[in-house]
Amino acid sequence: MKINKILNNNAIVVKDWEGEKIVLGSGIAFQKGKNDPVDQSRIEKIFVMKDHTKHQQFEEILSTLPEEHIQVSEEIISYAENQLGVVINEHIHIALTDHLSFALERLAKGMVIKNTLLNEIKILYAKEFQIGLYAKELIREKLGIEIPEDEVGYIALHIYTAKINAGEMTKTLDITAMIRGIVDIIEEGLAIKLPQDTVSYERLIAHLRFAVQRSESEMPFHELEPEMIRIIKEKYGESYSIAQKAGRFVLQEYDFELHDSELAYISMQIQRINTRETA
Amino acid sequence: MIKRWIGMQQRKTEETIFSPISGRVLPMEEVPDPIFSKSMAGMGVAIDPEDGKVGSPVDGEIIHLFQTKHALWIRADSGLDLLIHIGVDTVCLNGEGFHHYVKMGDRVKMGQPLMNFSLDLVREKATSPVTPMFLIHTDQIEQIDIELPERAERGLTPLMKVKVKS
Repeated sequence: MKINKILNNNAIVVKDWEGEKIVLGSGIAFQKGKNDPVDQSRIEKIFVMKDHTKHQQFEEILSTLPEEHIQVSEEIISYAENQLGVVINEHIHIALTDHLSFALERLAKGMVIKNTLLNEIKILYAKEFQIGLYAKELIREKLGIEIPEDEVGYIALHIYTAKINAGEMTKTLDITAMIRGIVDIIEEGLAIKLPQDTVSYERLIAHLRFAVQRSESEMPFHELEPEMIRIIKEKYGESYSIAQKAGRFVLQEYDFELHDSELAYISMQIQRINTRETA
Repeated sequence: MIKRWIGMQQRKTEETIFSPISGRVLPMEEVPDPIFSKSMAGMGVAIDPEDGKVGSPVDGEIIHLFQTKHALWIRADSGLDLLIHIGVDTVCLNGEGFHHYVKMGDRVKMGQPLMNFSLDLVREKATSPVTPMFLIHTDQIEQIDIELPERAERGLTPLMKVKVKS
């Protein structure tokens, strides 16, 4: 995968046989230039927008708005999708980011746009309002800005509108969320909990990141000989079946196919955790 | 068991929503507030009231009466969730001049008096007396036809015809 265009430090455009894709990830363009290979371990989200106008709009937002605003907006959207259990309409990436950035600039100047439906929004769109409150926390944490409840109400409305317009218009691959999902399945399968601040956890995440990387020709990162794969399936049956479950999960939820080699590789990781944690 | 099954069979899939207030009819885009004019809230219509009498637009149930008294959430028998919001930025009145005839949980019939408000006070203190009515949950709508006659009569003029998603 090569960088086709740099939009900002954390956003690039790549071009492959499927067309142009927007790729987001912390520091993904850091010290890189056009045509440089993409650091796949930094990929967090991949967007394939079928509507060309939306693609252009998104590119423009990513290259003109302050990076911190974009990062916070993406985090809010990921959280919202998680909470609501749906992939929100691609337009939210444009609408919310734009709205948020504009609102934050206004707030910096001391201007507040009143929300005349605030009381009602809290009741009518309670779930979305909760997400708005999370956004308020996140903005305070990451940007040090205090947004008023009026704003929380507007965010809630944006999310509601995007939620109900959810369609298959964009293929968004949220790699971070996908990996988190795989870890959940592994924890469930082994009946353990891996604390996030351990080396063990970090290592697992790193290994999983490698496992979901692809080369230009769609070959898996780890290529194991069929004989090797067979031995792993036999020896680490329990771990392999957990890996298979993870494979089914990512196929269903993310339309992402894990190659046999990768499943075998992941089984080995699971086996390692299993023997160590239960020793 | 059989009774419940029959009840379910009778659930409406089409709903006609009548005007809750008498007055001039306006499209949402003309409501003087960005939430309504920019379609950030749900689909619906607005009325510039001639008087302060509010009747139920549908047969249904009162789901929520807002503390501020100027907004009402009704669930029609078909399941459609409706919000009637008297005036724009009416919150500053703090309920002054509003009298409710119903309470949360009450079943209501189309045209039944729901509340009364002081049109003079709303005109004086709120940003505008223009009253939007909209469908809260857009994903309940299969198809919607919004009528925009010049004027509507409370309890008589149909304003929206909705096919409900099953």
